[in-house]
Amino acid sequence: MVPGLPEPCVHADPIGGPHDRAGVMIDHEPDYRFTLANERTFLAYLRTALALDGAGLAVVQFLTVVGTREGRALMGIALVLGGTGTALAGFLRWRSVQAAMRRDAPLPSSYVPIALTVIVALGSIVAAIALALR
Amino acid sequence: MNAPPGAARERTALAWRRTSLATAVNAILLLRSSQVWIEVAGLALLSIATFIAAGGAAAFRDPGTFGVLGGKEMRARLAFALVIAIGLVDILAIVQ
Repeated sequence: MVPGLPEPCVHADPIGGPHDRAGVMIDHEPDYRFTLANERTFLAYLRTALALDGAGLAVVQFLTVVGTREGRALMGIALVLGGTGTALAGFLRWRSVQAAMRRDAPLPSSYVPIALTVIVALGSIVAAIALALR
Repeated sequence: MNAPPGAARERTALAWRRTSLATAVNAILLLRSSQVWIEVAGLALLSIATFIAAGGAAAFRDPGTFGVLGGKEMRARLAFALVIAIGLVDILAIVQ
């Protein structure tokens, strides 16, 4: 039992975690290994965001023989904006997973990995075309 | 709470180190800029990367740690805000 919270119902909700007698979910601190796993996932999202940010800068700084300056800047800004979106998605994901774990609820699904795959694939295709047309 | 100790804490500490390295790479790319203020931002970011590496290492010396974030939203917000700020500086460096 969590101090300060109502006593859990003996027959807990079959689809959720512990509930009090009124049917309200009870928050509790999850197993530290799950908290650490969620932290690592959040950090992986942040690293992906930082990699996209770095790629945006690298396109402008190193791909000087490909395309126009404006085109490279546009590509770089698109990559950095992709990184910003990834960081935002990672933070929202971390928060929702942490909240679900506190309530012993099922973890929420996410479309972010699919979106990231599309962004990286499109970036690679654009880079390949730019190099081929050089 | 009384789960057997495993490599979870060590893996998380390594994840923080990788994140600090990713931050340092961004800082080094910013240092290549010709604008002085962007170079200053790059130097500041390099200091932050060092702080992240040191802070992560210090936090995981405690065998009972729940991680740097420890499930606390404010700390996650700070990490998120840092990455957003890096992205903003990167965009400014691109359009310069």
